[in-house]
Amino acid sequence: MNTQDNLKRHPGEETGQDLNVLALVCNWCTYTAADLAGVTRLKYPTQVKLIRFMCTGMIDVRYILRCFLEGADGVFIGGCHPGDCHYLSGNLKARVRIKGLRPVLEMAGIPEQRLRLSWIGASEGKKLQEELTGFTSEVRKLGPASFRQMHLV
Amino acid sequence: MRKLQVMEQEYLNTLSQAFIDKSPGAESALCIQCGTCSGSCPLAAQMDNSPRKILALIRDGCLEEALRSKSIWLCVSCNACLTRCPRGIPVPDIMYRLRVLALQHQMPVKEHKMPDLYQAFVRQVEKRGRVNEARLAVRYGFSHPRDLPGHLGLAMKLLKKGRI
Amino acid sequence: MVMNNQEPHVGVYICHCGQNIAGKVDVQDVARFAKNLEHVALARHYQFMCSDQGQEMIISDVVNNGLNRVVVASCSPRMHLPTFARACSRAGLNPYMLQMSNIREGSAWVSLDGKQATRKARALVAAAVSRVQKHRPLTTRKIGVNKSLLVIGGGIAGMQAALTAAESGFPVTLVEKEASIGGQMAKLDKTFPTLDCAACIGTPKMVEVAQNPDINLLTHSEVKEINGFVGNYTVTILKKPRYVLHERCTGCGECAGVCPVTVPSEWNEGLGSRTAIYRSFPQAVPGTFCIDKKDRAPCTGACPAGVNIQGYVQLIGQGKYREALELIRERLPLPGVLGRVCPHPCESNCRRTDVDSAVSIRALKRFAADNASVDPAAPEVERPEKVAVIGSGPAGLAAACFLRRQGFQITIYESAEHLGGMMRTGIPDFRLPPDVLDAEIELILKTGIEARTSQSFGQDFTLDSLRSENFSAVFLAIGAQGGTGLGLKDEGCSGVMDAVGFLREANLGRRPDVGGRVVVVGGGNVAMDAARMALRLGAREVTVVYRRSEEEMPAHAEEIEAARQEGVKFSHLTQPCRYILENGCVTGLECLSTSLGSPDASGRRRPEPVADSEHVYHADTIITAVGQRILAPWASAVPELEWTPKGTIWVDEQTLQTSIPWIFAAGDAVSGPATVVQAVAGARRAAEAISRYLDKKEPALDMQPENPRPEKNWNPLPKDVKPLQRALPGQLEPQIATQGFQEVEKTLDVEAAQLEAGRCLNCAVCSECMQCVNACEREAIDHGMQAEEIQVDVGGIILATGYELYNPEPLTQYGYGLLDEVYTSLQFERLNNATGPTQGQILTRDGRTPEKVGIIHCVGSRDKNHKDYCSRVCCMYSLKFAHLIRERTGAEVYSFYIDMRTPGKNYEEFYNRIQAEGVHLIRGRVAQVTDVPDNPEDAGRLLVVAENTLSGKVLRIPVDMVILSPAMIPAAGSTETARLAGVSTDSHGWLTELHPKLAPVSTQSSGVFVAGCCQGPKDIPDTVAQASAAAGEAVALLSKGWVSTLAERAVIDQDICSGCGICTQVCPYGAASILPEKRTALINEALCRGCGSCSASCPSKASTVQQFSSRQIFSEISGLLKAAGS
Repeated sequence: MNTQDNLKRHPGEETGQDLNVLALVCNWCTYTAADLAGVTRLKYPTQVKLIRFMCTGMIDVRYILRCFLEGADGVFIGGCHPGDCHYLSGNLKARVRIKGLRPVLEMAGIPEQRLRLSWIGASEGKKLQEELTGFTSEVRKLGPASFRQMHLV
Repeated sequence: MRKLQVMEQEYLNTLSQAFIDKSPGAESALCIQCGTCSGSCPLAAQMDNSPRKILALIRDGCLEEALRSKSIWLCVSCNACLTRCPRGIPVPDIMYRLRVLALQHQMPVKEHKMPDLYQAFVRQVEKRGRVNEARLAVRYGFSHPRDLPGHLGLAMKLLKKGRI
Repeated sequence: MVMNNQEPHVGVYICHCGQNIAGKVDVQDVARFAKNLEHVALARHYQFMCSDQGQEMIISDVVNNGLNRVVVASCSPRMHLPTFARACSRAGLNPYMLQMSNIREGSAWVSLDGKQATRKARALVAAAVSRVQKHRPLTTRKIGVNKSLLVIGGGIAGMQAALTAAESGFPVTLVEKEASIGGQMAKLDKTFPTLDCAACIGTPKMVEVAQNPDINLLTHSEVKEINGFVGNYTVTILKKPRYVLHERCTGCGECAGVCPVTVPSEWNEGLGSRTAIYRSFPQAVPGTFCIDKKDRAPCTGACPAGVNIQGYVQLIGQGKYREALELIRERLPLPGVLGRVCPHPCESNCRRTDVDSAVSIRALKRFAADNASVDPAAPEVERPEKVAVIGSGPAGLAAACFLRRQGFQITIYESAEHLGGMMRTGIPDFRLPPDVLDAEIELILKTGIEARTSQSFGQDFTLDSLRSENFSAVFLAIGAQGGTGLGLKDEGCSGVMDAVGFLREANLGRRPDVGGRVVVVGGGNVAMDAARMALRLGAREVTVVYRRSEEEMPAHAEEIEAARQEGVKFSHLTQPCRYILENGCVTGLECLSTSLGSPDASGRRRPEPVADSEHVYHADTIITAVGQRILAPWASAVPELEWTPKGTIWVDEQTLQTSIPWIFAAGDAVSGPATVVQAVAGARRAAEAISRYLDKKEPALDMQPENPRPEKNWNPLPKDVKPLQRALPGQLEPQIATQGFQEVEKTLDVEAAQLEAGRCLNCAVCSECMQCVNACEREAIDHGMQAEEIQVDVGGIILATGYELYNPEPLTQYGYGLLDEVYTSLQFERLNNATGPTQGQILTRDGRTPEKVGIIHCVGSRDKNHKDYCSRVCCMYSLKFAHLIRERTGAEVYSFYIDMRTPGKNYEEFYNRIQAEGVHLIRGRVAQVTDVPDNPEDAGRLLVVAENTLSGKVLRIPVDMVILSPAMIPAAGSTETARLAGVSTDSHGWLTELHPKLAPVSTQSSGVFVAGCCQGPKDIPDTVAQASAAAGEAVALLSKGWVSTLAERAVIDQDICSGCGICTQVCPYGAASILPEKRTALINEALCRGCGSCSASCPSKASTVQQFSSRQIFSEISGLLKAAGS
C-alpha cells in the first residue's frame, strides 16, 4: 500500500469532482487516533473528511443514508473496539445497525464495499491511516457513487 | 515399519507446522508446562518422555523426537491427564495423532513392541471380524518371539479359566 | 445576552497556529471562502486564536458586531473547545453557540499537498458554518449532593476507605454483615513480605474506625436497598439483632461458658467450634457478644403449644432438669401428662431423621417431669378480676394456670367428683397413672386457684349466678365427653356401650364386666384404649373392627403397636351392619367386608361394602369408639350461645369469644375431639384473649396463628455426626402389663437421656434456654431484640465486600474434605494464629507436630475446569507459610508451584530469602494427594505426587500435612450487593470497574466506587491503596457540594414520545425511565452521559442528544459535501 500513489492528483481532482469519503468517528477512540495521526504527521488522502460523534452508537442510519444521498462515494465508520466503548456498549449497537443497513444499501444500489465499519483504538493512529487510505483506494476503484450522478440532492 | 528413517529437515518442519496448525496439535500452544499430566499418568514411570515433555517437544518443532519416543505407544487413553489439565489440552488425542503419524512415517522401532501388537490385533479384526486371544498371542509372537515364554504362566492360567 | 432566535450572524476565525496550519493551508483563501458562505457576517484569520488576543478578537466581534454564532477553524476540539467556549461566555454568548473545525490535525498535518489541504480545509469550515446555524443555547444545572458516604464491607478495604473519607470531614456509614469488622485480614497470622502480624496492623485500624466520631459503624447489618442517583442515594439498612446490648456487654464471656449449643466456628474456617453466643475473636470490634439465632427449630414449629423443645432438650443434656421443666411449663402446665400421652408431632418434624432417627422428645419431656420438681409461686401482682373456668380437663386447667400467672382470680367448676376431665376419665391408668395427674393438678392449683367439684353448669350454677358472683369472664372448656354409637338398630341393648362411657367407668374404679369376648368398633386412640382396657378387665379375646385399612387408622402407630403386643386382634376392612341379640343381650356383631374406593371429602378412601360378605364376630360386649360429641344439657337455657353445624361451640377465630362476648371457649368443645396438647394450645390463646378482653385491648395480631411457621433457615446438618439410634423408653412385658393397671411405659435412665439429648442437632442454633441470661451479671442479653430497618441518605457509595476462598472439594484429586490433614490456606492461618483452635501451634488434628509439610499452589486457579485466572497472592503466602513452618517446627517443606509469581515491592527479595531457608521449591503442579503411601513405614501419612518439570522426574513425597492454596473468589452475596448499587460483575463475579487502567476504582454508576478484592484478587498493599483512592475519588466528586449535569445530554420531546420504552432498554446508565402517569420517557439529567444510544434507537426521534441533533448533523454533512463539490 503506497500512500504516496493515492495522494497523486487523480483525474477529476482539478474540477473538484473528486471522491468524497466521509468518516463518521467516535470522539473517544477513533477521533483521538485521528488527532494522534495528525500529531505524528501521518498522511492520508484529503478526500477523507471526518465528522465527530461522541459514540458510534450515536450514529443513526439516517446519517449514513444522508451521506450517500448528498453525494458521498464512501462512508467510513470508526469506533472503539468491542468491550472498550467509553459508553460501554454503543459500538455494539452500531455494529448491529450497520449489519442491518447493508442489505438496504444494496437494494438502493450501493454495494457494501462503500460502507466500512472499523474499530480503531485511541492509540492506533497508524492503523487509522492505513484504513482510511485503503478504504479510499477501494472506493476509487468503484468510481463515483450512483447517487451522485443522479444529482438527487 | 522396522526401518529407521531419517527425515529431511524441511519436510520435518512442514510436518511440525502442519501438526500444530490444527486441533489437536494446535492446543499445545496453550500448554503452561505445569506437569499435571505427567504426575497423573499411570505409565509415566515407563515412559522415556513424560507427556509434558512430549508437548514441549512438539512446541519446539522437535516432532521427530516425539514420533520416535516410546511414550506415545504407552498411552492407554485413561484420560487422567485431560481431566486434570488446567488448560484442557487433549493430550490423549495428541498421543493418538502422534501414533498415526509415527506409523505413516515408519517411525516406531521394534523395541517399542506396542505397534506390533496393535498391528496383530487389527489384522485379526480385518480378517475375521473378531479377535481370538490365542491367535493374537501367536501373531504377536512372530514379531517378538522372545516375549512369549515369559507369558506362558499367564497363558496357562487363562486357558484353565477358559479365557483363551 | 444575545438573542439566539434571530437570523444567524456567524463569525468565522481561521487560525494560522503559527506555521502549523498556515504552512500548509492557505488561510487567507479559506477566510475569503468563508466570508462568502451564507449567514457569515465576518471571517478573519489570525496567527494564534487561542492566545489572549485571539480570544479578545472573538469577544469584541461578538459584542460589537452582533455575532450570535462562532466558528473557530484551528486545532482539535479535544484540545481547545473549552478555551473558545469560555471566550464566548465572557462575550455574553452562550458557549454552545460555537463549533470548531479541525484544520490542523484534520487537514494541515495529514495532507501532503497544500492545494488539497486548502480545499479540504474549506470543506471542513463550510461544514462547521452549516452546522453552527442549527446550534441552540444550552445550559447545565448543578445538582446538590449529600456530602456523606456509605461503605459496604468492614474488612481492611472498607475500613481504610472509611478512615480516609472521614479525614475529609465527610460522615461515613460503614456497614458490615458479620458481628465484627476486620474481614479476612484479621484471620491471618503474619503478612508478606514484611511478616508483620496482621492483628498488630489491623486492630489499630479497627479501633480507629470504632472510635472515629465521623464513622457510624453498623456491624451485624446488611444493605437491603439502594435508591436514588449520584449525590442523592437513600440506602435501606437492616440491623440484624445481636440479642446482646452493646452498651451493657463487657465482653466477659460468662455467657459462652454456660451455653449448651456448639457449632463449628466459621471464624476458624471450620476448625474448632464456638457456642451459640459468641465473639469471633478476642480483639473483635465491637467486642460485644452476639447470639447466632436461626429460625425456630422445626420441632418447636410443629408443637401446637409452641413449647421451646430445643431449649429444654439442651437443658436436659446439661443436667439442668429443673430448668428444663420450668421452660416446658412456660407453655405447657402438664408436662408429666404430655410426656406420656402426647402424639409428638415434634418428632415427625425432627431433622435428626435425616441422619438416623428422630430425637425421642416425648420421652425426654417425661424424663424431665419425673426427675425434677418445681415450686410455682403465686403471681407477683394480684388483679381483682374474676374468671370462671368451666371444665377441668387440659384446656380448663391450662387456661386457669395461664390466667392465674397474670394475677386474675380463678375458680374452676368441674361437674365430676374429681378434676382432670378426659385425662382422668378417658386416658387409662396404664398410660397415665392417677398419682401423676394428681400431682400435676396440685402444682397448678397451688398458685391460688379455687376448684369446685361436683358442680354442673345449668344445675348447680348458671351464668346468672356467675354474674352475681362478679365473674368478669367465663372460659368454657367442657370438652367432648359424650360417646356416639353406630346408629344401628338395638343400639341401646345390654352389652353395647360407647367407648367414652366405658372408659370413664373403668377409670373411675368401677370395673365393668366385659365377658370373654369383646369387639371394639373404631380405629382411633380411644378404640385402642378401650381394647387394652377390655383385656385388663378379663376379656380373653379382643378384636378391633375397622372399616378401612391399617394405614388409614387415625390411632397413633405406637398405640396400635402396643395394643397388638398385648394381644389385641385387628380386623380391617370390616364394617358392622347388625347387632345380633339373644334375649335382649348382644351376642355378636354381623359385619360386611369392605374394599376401598375413591377418596371422600376427608381425603381418605371410602370403604365400599362387598356384597354377600356377611360374617359374624361373637362378642359378649361391643364397644363403639367411632366418635365423641359435646354434652351440653344446659344449652337450651343459654339460647344466645351459638353452635356450629358440627355440634361444637362457635367462636370467633381471632378473639376466641363465643357469641356471648364475656364467654370464651377452647379445647374439644370448640375443635371436636383432639389431643391434649391441642387443648392446651387453644387454652393459651384463649387466656391471652381473655386477658386482653379484660384489659379492654384489641386482640393481638399474633394470636393467630399460634406459632408462626419457620422459614427453614436452620443450622446445616453437620457432616461428621455419627449415627446413633434413638433411645426408646422401656415397656412392661405385655403378659405382665395386661394383668393389671400399672403404667406400661418406663422412663429413660439418666445415661440414656443424656445421650438422647446429645443427639439434638440444634436446628435454631441458639436454643433460647436462657442460661446466658442467668449468667450475665450486667443483664446485657435481650432475646426479644428485633431486627431494625433504618434509612440513611448518602452522596456516594464504596463497595468493599471482599473475597472468600474457593471450596477445593471438587478437586477430588487433592482430597480436601476426605483426608483429614488437607487444609486450605485460611485454615492454616488459623492454626498459625495465637487466637486459633491450637493457640498458634502447628499441629495435626491428632495433636502431633508435622515433620513434613506439602504446600500446593494454584488449587482451582489458572485452571480451565475451575477458575481460569491467577489469584495473585498465593505464591507469596505459600512462601510465607514455608518460612513460618520452618521457623516454628523445623519440618521439611515442599512447595509445588507452576510459576513463582512475586511481582510486588520486596516480593522477589522475599522469594530469595525463602529459597535460602532450605525450603524445597518444586516446579510442578501436583497431580494427586493420596493416603496410600508407597512404603509401609509411611503409613498414616499423605503422599503428594507431582512431576518436577525442571528435572523431569515424577516425585512421590510422603508428608504429614498438606496445605492447599485455593483460588480467591468474590465473597458470597457480593453480586447481589453490587446489583443493588447498579454495578455489574464479570463472569467470575468480580465487580466491574469503569476502565481497567484509567478508572480502576469508579464504576459505570456515577457515585459508586469499588475497593479491595471485590474488584479482583489483590494483596493488602494494593487493597489499602485502592481503598484510599476510592475514598479520595468519592470525596473529590462530592466535595463541591454539587455535581453538574452534562449539556450534551439526551432530552425527550414529550410531544413526540410514544412511550415505547426502547430508550430504557438501550441506556447503559439506566438514565431513561417511563413516567408512570404520562407514559412517556424521561431522561435523568444527573445520570445521562450523552452517548446517544437512545437517540439513535428512538423510532420516532423523540430523543435527541443536545448539541448532536439530527438537524445539526445533517447540516454538517451537507456543508461538507456541497463545499467539496465547489
